[in-house]
Amino acid sequence: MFLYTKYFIRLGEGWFMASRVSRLTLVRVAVVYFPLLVGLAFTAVGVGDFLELSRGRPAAALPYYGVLPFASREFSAERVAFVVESVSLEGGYAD
Amino acid sequence: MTFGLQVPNRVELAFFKVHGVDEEKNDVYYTGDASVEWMPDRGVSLLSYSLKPVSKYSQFIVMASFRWYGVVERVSYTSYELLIPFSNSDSVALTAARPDAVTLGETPFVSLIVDLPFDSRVTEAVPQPIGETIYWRNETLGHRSLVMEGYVPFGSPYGYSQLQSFRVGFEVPSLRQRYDRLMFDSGLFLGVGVQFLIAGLYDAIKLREK
Repeated sequence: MFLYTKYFIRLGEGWFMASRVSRLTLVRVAVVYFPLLVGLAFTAVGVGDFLELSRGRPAAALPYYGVLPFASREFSAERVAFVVESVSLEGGYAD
Repeated sequence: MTFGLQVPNRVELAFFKVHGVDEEKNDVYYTGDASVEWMPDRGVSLLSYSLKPVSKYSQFIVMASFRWYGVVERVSYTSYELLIPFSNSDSVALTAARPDAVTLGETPFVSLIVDLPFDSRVTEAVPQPIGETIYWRNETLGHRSLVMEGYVPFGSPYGYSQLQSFRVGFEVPSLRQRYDRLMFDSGLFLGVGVQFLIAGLYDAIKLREK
């Protein structure tokens, strides 16, 4: 990192000589603050993506009770039909 | 007379349509009182509809429509599972709230039609679907309809829970693309970011020592 950035420092040195920015400040910005800033930003984005991938999901619990038709008196059914007309992936429900 | 349905998990927006025949055997649509009872301690919803029969013919067609939460589980980043269990247990949840309820205690023919998003891909289905129909309207609107059938025993009063279930597992290809991109991005950003962090810290220490 230091090897790459020293050329940049030398190029900009003449320009900054006229200003009040000291060479040490320029070196600090180039080899310390810039890599730290970029490192923090990239790491944060990478961790964010990784967390989204590995976002914990509750283990699917097996149901204990099931679907059961009932009535107020004895009855029989020749046919029972269920139609799932739409599925909401985000909401986790079906209509 | 009351008809009802025990449904695992929470149910909302429920309504019933009931029709039968009158003395002249003409179709009659009933108006009655519908109720939805959520039992959070047991995780069960009870839907019921009370009506007053208008004829001696006790044949009804009962349709219950509802929004069923928890029936679709996300099992991985890209795949989902729709599970519909049918009760062959002692149904304690129902009898605790409705002691006088009579359950359907036979083995009727059950069919399940599942309309899935058009861009989904079915990975498994139990029982095996007997057919699939693709409804195509335009490039963004359409769905595929799976038909599953089987005989299901309901409401045996003895023994442990035996929930014969219909299950559909499916994957969403657009999520697969996003998953691949996130995998690549996280590796790239972490690789570059951590390297820069280490370099910056190393140079900071080095400068401090000078």
